[in-house]
Amino acid sequence: MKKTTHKCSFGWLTLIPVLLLIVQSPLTVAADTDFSKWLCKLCVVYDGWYGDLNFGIGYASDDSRRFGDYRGVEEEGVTTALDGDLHYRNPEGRYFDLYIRDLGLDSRQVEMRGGTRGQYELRLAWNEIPKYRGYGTQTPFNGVGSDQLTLPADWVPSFNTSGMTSLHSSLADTPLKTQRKTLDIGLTWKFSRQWVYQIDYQHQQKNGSRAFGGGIFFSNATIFPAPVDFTTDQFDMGLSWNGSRGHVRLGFIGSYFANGARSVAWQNPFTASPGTESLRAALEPGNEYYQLSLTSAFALSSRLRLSGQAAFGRLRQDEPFIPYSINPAYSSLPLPRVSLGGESDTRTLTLAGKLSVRLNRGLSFTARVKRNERDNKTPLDLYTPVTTDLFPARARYNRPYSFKRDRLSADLRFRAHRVVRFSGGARKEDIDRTLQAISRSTETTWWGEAKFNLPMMTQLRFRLESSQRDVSDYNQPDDGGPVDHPLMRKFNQADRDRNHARIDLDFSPLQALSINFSYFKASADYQKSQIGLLASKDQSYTVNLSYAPGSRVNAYAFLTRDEMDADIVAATGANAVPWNAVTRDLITTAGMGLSASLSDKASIGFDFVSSTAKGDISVQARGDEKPFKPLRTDLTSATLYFDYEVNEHWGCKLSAEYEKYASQDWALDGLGVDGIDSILTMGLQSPVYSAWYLRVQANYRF
Amino acid sequence: MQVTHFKIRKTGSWSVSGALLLVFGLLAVSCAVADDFTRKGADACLKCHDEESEFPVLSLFKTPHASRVDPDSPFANAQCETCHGPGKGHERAQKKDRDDEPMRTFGLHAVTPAAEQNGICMDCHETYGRLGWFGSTHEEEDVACAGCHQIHAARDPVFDALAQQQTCFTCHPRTRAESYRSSGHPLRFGKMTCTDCHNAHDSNNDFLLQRATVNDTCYTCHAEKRGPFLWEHAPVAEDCTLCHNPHGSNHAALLKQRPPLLCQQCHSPSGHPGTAYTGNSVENSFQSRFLLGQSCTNCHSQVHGSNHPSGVTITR
Repeated sequence: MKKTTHKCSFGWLTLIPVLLLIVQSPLTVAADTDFSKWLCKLCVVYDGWYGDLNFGIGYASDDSRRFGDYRGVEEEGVTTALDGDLHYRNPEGRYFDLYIRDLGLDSRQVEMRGGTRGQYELRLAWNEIPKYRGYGTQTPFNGVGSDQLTLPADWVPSFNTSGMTSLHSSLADTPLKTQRKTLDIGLTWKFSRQWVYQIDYQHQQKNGSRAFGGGIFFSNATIFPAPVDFTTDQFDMGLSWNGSRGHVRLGFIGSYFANGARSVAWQNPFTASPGTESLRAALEPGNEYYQLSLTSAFALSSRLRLSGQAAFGRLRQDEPFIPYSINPAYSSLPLPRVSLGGESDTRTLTLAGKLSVRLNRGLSFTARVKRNERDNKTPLDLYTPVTTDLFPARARYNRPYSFKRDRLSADLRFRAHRVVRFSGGARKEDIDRTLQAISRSTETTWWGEAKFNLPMMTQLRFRLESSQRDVSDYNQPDDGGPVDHPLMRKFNQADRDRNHARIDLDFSPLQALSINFSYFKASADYQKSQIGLLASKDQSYTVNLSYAPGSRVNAYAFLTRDEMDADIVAATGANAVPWNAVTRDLITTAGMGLSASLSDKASIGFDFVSSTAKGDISVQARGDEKPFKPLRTDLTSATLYFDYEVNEHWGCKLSAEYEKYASQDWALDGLGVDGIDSILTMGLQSPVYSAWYLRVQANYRF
Repeated sequence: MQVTHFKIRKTGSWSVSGALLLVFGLLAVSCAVADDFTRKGADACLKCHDEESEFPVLSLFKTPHASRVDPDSPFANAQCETCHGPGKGHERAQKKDRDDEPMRTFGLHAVTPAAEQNGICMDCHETYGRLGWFGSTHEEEDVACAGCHQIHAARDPVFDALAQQQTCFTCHPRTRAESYRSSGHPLRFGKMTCTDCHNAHDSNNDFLLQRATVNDTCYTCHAEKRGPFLWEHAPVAEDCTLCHNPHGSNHAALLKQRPPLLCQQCHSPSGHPGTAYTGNSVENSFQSRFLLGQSCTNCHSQVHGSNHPSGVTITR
């Protein structure tokens, strides 16, 4: 028989010496109720299989690659529509759950888990994600998907795209699509009341093509389809000990990334200087990552809790280098090493403590210390890069960056009254960097908050936060490369004042109705920067309504308006007159939805969202510049479903998804593959479509 | 008010010395006694709280909480009263049509304070990813476990990809709007969940992330950007969010700013200086190569780092 015990009140224990207070054990007294005699006659005992299977057809109204992203329905036509769930339960605690979504599509998802309650659980999941990496893409290259791209035999090279006379006759529709497939296998084994072992293995495969830009000095570039053949295997395992006053978990993560394509070579479509008929770029190298972590939490008393984590990782990358150049003139230049021997240690240490002190209504204090470190031990060597396969440049050392981030924070929360709580805190963060413009930055943040609990379920909150970042002397590192403008301050390494204000109002005039309003504004001022990012502002407000007058009806509506501004200054040289750019993104998103049970047999629901974005960029140098056309994106998305139960076992489901999307982008629109005289592109287009996907399914429940 | 709640005692209690226990035991005059429980346990509750009640509960019997086999399950102990507290007073009051003996209730708008609700849940669930719960943002904000989780549902909606985000968006409405931006992670398609990146129960990692750092979290799915590369791009190794907004952006690849301005914020090297590309540049055949198409990445395609011996300018 399990004992049920009662944790007692300790308010008067302040008379006990402090030491006893800190280390007090849960004071428990066994109750004498024998719960095993509770018969639970009205309890439901499941023994066997039950489930909900949906099978039918779907129909996509249009060919649209963007509509097909993630959905897997990019072509007009009929699809299968299979999903559902299947379950097993028995009185001995054995269980099995299976969830299936979109089994007939490229976006299929299957998840299953089973085991015995309180003993073990096995998990298995499969997930596919289709995604296009560009729309309307074409290329004259042969060998798409491989690491060797060649041009047709009758290709006419030229110094610019307008002279490539066989270009248009050579173009072929070239979808830039990737398919990510993820397999998850997991086990949780509870081999005693206190010890639990868990292991999860994940295998990710991502295959397809993406656009890749290969430049030739300043004169030309080619955008071509590069292969994507990524494989990531990851183990995440942990052993946990759970006591009555503390918990510890020892964890290990091992992650192994492999790229099936080590490099990609492409035939130069431009008039080639000797040796540059073919060009080559390295693709992402395989790497390995291991991390050992220890996480724990302890309740030292009912008022003092400590938690922390220590994680030590090591990142390795040692793929063999490809030669300096595919250009025969430089392909045999000696490399300082055959592979990088890259190694980077990561350390993350977190210690958090929370002390709750009861003074009248309550005072709590939380302090946290955190260190995050990247110690790059990659060997430093002198390389002689061959610039875009054309000519050797000045020798340069590689720059294995390291950094160390230390953060200390303390928060105080005080419930002054039943209706009001004040909070405040401070945070200090130091970042030490190597091989960069600054060696140290220190950011100090103060924040305060007042939260009011008012009548009619109303909650009002104000929060202000202010931070100041000071950096050490800005000295551009001399790595043998080009030097930046002397007044350039990279925004992540510049002095900065940042302020943040937030107001939230939650209001429930009726039990079923809640209205939320939130506003926030964050502004950053890089007050000592003269070249670079000078200021940025981000503000947003949201109104949100939800109405749930019972379990049968649920409705919501929302409106969010975001505005993001930035002010950037740059110059072409130390003595040149700086120019200024102001950017503004305005995004308005509004939506509403309803789900309702019309009767015991029928239910209906819909969701509607409209999102409109406008991006303005104003660049002023001399003052007579033509403005950029606004960047625009308009999305209208709607879903509708209707479910009807014909009888105890059978029913039907109808659902429809509609999406209308239009975008205008001056960087892409109307360019085609030869719109930039010196760059052969893939003709990416900003997508415009209107499509819907309808599903009709029979539903069988058992 | 001192929070008092029942706790299922686990083996291996951290009892201090027997003498100390004896002292404390003698002082424990306020402890509840067996009389506080109903006489029949769940059978007493289910007489009223059935499928026809305002909050149907019978789906609970499909869940781990109703297992009578797992010794740590509520139903292997005091059944409903394990979580809701002893119900004898409530049962007695209801028989007399009185509402003055409420049970401990759970949820966003429940009368029972969130800290007390959560204490019950954490008695069993302060494990694995919840070790940093106390002191975490959600705990400090009085978010109740049952404000997000539906314990009585056959499948807690937060374990469904599409339903989970609606739960999170209740308090994070801007993130919902961000998920509809032109460039984003596939949250609204149910191909990703908030909890793929965030651990709502923790405080050990920044932004309640699943992994120790922002980059460690991103590398879970983008391991190809992990390096270390021969030629590194310093901000990439430091923090992905310096350039990307993971919740969505109006610019391609979740970028916070559109190239070339994104790059010009930090780069203005001699020989390739920070030129003002304006509306005039769109039709200027020399300047357009730096502005149109993929802008800087027309040439500098390896922005996350290059392992090519000649990739110092991340063009290879």
